[in-house]
Amino acid sequence: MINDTVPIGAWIEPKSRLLDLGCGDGTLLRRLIDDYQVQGYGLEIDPDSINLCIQKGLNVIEQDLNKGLKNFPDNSFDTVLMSQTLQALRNPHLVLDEMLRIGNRCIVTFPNFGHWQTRVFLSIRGRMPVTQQLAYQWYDTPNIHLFTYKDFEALCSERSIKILKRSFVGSQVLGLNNLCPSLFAKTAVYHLAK
Amino acid sequence: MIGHLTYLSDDALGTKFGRLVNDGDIGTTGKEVGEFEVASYLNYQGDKFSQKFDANSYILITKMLDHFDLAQDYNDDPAKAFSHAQCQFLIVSFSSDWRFSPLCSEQITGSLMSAGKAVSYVKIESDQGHDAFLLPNSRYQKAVSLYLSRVSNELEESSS
Repeated sequence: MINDTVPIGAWIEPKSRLLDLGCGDGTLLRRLIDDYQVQGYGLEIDPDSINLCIQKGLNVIEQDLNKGLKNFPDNSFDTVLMSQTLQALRNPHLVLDEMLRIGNRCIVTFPNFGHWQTRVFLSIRGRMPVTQQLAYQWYDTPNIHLFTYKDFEALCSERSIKILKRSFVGSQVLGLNNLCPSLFAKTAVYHLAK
Repeated sequence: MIGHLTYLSDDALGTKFGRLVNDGDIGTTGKEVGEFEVASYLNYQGDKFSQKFDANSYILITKMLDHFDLAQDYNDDPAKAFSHAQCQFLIVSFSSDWRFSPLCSEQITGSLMSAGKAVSYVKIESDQGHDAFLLPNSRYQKAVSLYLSRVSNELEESSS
């Protein structure tokens, strides 16, 4: 798992209210609570992951993101976070709108499908990429919307979503991520506002 | 009988009785020939209940439940009503419970989140209706036991 908490931490106000959509086993949420004393809630759908969150002492709410977030009032959280989940949603663009309605700020992380490894995999082998980060076959993958960071930025500009900051995680070689994120960023991390 | 029905679910009643009709076994519990089995079952439960309890007490309790309004003294804002709570919450709902529906549990969970309280919520798949909370269910048992061991750990830590 790629560590995408480094840029996230700098964007979170200590002791603020945080909603984590698709919190998984709660590793990231636990760390953010420990490091920044945020008042955190996680949404998750998988029963085993929910159990792991309960074990970690987290506030975890069973809810299907694909069925909407209408139960959350406008601006009820300081930050709405979604880590490595956008690509698995039925309507990522509508969920983004909802995140910006509920949260004052949003943080989104996702795998950059334009990474050179996935490009090489597809162009040389002629098959859908199976990488460490996208570790599924095409038929059983939960990642039903694959996109590059440039696709994401195009969507943001289409929907008038403000990109406050962005950060790229991936290559071990210093600077390559930011020099050419299109090829070298494995994970893209965005700080967004309305 | 209606009260009893609310503890069960469509599916559970369907599997148990469906459209079975009593075909002639008149005897022990005063069944009528041609009566639905589910009706004689409910009649039997109703008789048993009225012998054990004063029916008026049941009416009174039902009315009190109906009149209970969590947010009445708080400008109809349940989050405000919960604001005094000192404890942490685990809310569990059952998919086929229409006595206390998942929707109600989700509203409670939402209000607790608005109030900034510690809350977790799980929705258990079950066809046992309201009675599900008394019956074995591996996911339900697992979630409650994990939650309680966490509470017990926290208590131990705070006392040591």
